[in-house]
Amino acid sequence: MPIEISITTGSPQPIYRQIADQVCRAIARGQLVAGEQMPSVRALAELLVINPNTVARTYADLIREGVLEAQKGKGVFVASRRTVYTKAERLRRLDATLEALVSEGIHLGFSAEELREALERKLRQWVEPIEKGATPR
Amino acid sequence: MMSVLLRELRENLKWAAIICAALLVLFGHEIRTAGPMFLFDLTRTTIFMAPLAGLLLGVLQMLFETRQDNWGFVVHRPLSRSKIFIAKSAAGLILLFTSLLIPCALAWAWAVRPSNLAIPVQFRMTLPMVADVLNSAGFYFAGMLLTLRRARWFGTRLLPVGLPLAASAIIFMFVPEFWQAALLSGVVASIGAIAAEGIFSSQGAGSMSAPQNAALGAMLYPGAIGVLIGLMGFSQTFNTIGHWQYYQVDKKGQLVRQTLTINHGERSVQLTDAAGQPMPEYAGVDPDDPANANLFIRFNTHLFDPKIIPWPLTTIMAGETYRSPDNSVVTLRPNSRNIRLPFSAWYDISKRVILLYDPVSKLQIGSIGPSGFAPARTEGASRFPDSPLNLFLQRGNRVLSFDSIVYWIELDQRRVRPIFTSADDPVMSAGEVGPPANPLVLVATRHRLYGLHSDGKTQFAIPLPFDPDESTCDAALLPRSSHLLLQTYSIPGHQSSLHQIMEYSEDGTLLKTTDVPPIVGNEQKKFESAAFAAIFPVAARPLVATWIVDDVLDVRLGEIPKLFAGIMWASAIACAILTILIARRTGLTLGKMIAWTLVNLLLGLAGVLTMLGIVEWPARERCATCAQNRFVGRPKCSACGASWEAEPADGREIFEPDRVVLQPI
Amino acid sequence: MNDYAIQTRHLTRYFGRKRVVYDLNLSVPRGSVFGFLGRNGSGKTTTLRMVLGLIAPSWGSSTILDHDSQNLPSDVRARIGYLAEGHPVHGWMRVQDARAYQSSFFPKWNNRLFNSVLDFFRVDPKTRARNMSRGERAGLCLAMTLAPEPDLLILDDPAIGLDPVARRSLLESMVLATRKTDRTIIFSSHLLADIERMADHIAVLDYSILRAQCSLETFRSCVQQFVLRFDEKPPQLPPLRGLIQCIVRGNQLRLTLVNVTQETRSALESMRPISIDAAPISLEDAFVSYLGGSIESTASQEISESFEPIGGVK
Repeated sequence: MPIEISITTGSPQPIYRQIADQVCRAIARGQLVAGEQMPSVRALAELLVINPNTVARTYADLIREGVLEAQKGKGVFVASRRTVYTKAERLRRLDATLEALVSEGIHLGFSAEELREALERKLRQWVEPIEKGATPR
Repeated sequence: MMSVLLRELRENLKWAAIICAALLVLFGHEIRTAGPMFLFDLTRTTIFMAPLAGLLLGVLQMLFETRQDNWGFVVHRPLSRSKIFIAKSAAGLILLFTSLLIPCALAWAWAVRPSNLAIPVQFRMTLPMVADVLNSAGFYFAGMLLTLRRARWFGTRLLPVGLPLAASAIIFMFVPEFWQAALLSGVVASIGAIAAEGIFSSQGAGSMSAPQNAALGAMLYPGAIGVLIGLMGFSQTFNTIGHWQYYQVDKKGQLVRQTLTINHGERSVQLTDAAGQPMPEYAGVDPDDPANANLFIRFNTHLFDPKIIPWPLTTIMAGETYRSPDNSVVTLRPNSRNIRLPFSAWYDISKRVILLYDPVSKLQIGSIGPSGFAPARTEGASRFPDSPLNLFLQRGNRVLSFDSIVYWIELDQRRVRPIFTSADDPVMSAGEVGPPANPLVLVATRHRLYGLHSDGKTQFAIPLPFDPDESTCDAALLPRSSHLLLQTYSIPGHQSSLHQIMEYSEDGTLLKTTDVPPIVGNEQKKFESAAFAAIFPVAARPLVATWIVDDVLDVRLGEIPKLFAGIMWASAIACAILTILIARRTGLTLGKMIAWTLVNLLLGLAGVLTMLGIVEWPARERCATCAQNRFVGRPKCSACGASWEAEPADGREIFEPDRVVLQPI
Repeated sequence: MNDYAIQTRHLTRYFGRKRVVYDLNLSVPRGSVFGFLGRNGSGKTTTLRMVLGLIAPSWGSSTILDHDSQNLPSDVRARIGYLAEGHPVHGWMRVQDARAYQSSFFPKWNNRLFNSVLDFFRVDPKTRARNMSRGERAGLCLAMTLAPEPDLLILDDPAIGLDPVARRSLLESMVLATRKTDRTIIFSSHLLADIERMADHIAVLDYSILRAQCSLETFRSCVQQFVLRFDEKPPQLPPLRGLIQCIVRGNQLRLTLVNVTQETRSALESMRPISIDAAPISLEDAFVSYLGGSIESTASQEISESFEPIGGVK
């Protein structure tokens, strides 16, 4: 298995969402590269001890989002390109995430300046190692 | 099915082994003190061990299934529940019979070895034990019912044991032949099996079919009757006053009335004449005093045609059953205590000879036939013509009588002497009276009564003084005058109830005839008998003669015929009404109500108790629509027919696909 | 072939005076992993017994694998695996005895599956069932139930009394059982973690009444929690259909609602809070509120439930 996936029960996040997020994060961090094969539905289900339908549903969602692609007869692989979303769609999604981020930050009592600094810090952790080609901590 | 059977065998083998071991230990104890009647003595053990073993095995085999989930585990298989039950029962019965028959077989093998018992051992002697073993099957299924049945009222759990227990009692008291006992055991076991299968298959509270319910009812009914009889018997212990009357004859030939009175536990006996007047010679005489043991004449000799004795008197009084040793081998003893014989003598019915055995070495010495003694291992002595008359009275009797010839047994001379022959008038019965040293032999043919000396000389010959088709006769000799006393009775159930005492002189002249007055009933007994009539089921009336019930249960229904009938019918009608009330309270359909009412009309109070043990007793609540009582757990109200209603939604419902609201049925 | 492995119609059962199952209309989709939820004594075991034909209903009917429950032919019973509560088995049996006994009844017997399940539970082949630990015995019974490869698997509270390791083995066996894609599994449980892992559909029995039957995802999405912030003490609640829990903390109201409609939203807004935020809620909290709380569709509520939601909620 190329990446470590773990799930938690009792979380507000449904299991399929947890898996999807971990896969996406791994791809973003470079732990999963394009063309790498994902474990079969059955194998992942037996490893995580969950209903295979959940894994199937996750894979289906990720395939629909263009993160993974199915190759007939061979299995599920990490997609090579992310061309499913239009630019407008991608901007809409970014905007929604930013909305949530800013509103929560204001609520927690941070100023705009503090928020900007926090964003900078986070970007340094995430993007720079990718640009340098290494795996973040 | 085989796997269920094998599993049951493996699980219950240990119980069977314990039963077998226990029986072997008890038998082994009997072997240590074994007398010639060894095989019959063993029935003292088997008669309670076999039913106990059956009951125990039935209970133990069903214990696992008493928990609902375990029952589900056993029954949720691709095999019908009846087949599972059959496999279980087959395993149980195999274990039961094997564990009981092995000790019996070993006892038989031991008995048959020549030097173990001083008696000609015959296979017929094992039949009583085998009958007891076969009877255990009924108790086995009763044990299953005991364990599985959810009895509502405490104590009714034990009722199913009633039928096999009743069958045991009947076999013990009433059944003459072995095959009849086996058949009865088989019928009871079948009924028990049907009922047990019904309860087993419906453990999850499904309903049983009519035959299964009928079988269950049959299992419970005798128990219910037993409970009622027990209650009656218990109430009898509150009797503080009772008196019983007997008639005796004293040494002078006088008729004496003996009245026993029990008054608050105090026992007293009065002796009066037949009219009730006190007799001066018995003033202050206490018959209970051992010194007065020989106050009255004992009539030890009985003359009658055995064919007229009705069943069940043959089995109850005379013990003429397969369980009696006399059925195969009759004990012969010299009549006098002064003679000690160096051997035991037996009349072997199948071989028709007298056999002599050495009590020390237990080996056969020889045989005695009409032509005399023949040593063992030689060509046997000649045979007697048939089974002796009055076979079951032969023990200790020195007169050996057959249809055509009567012998006098002289064991010390190792011979029998013919003392009477009759060509045209067949002998009916014969015996001896008087002192053993100088006895008077009485031979009764169908028409005449002869008095003989033991050397064959005729002392007198008179016409038979009683009707052999209707009466029996007891004989005795008055000690001082040597007068012959004959007491004749009518057979029970006959219209004429003749009871006479006749006194004859030595030459056969009739001296005196006394009519014995009928015994006056105990008033207290009448009351008890009337109470007993209340639990007597109508259906039993044509089946069981009144005198049999009177005899077995010590009541006096025969003396109060109109009262008996009246109370019995009144009770039957009350039971019918009670049944209707119960049927309405438990919500039975009209058909079932009618069926039960008819049944309980015929079966009486015990039938009502059985009904309570079988029908479901549903809970009741108030109907929301009509405010009457209605049965819980039924879709429609029994009073107004309003149907059940769905629960209203409370806003929390989440249904996907959207719930289709199905109309209430 | 029907879409449903089990269907009940107005299934009702009374025991004496007590109503145990009432007007149950359950439909278990074929091929699903179906979680059967409800508090202790709410009628789950009785329902399963009726569906298997072990008990007769007071009224109503049910079909299982397209056959009437009360008249199941033997060959259909062979296709249904049933593990009763408490893991019943004959105490004297060892693994070998259980294998020989169970396999003699069924035409199909998957010995590898039998052994796999025994391995999951680490069952000692030399021990007799009565001397096994709870987990080992559960493993043996589960192996006996799965090896005949049933089309329908009914597990009544299979995790009862099991330690966490054995529970994990149970779940592993259940995942293994899903290898046969048209196999339906129905299991009752109190452990919401297990439900979350394994079930794709659920039914919720609330003391003899069926309150919910849907996919797990639908259940999660239907039960929502809102946090309403106010300037001062929160006002009286208006009538809110589907309110199952209300917690007051300072100036905040935390409401748990089922089936939120536009009407509900308007009612919430009518209280004029500073803000209405959807708060994330775990399956366990959603379920406990769903069954634990009482329905408050009228006003006047201070604190109805005072427990803290556990785990995961910000």
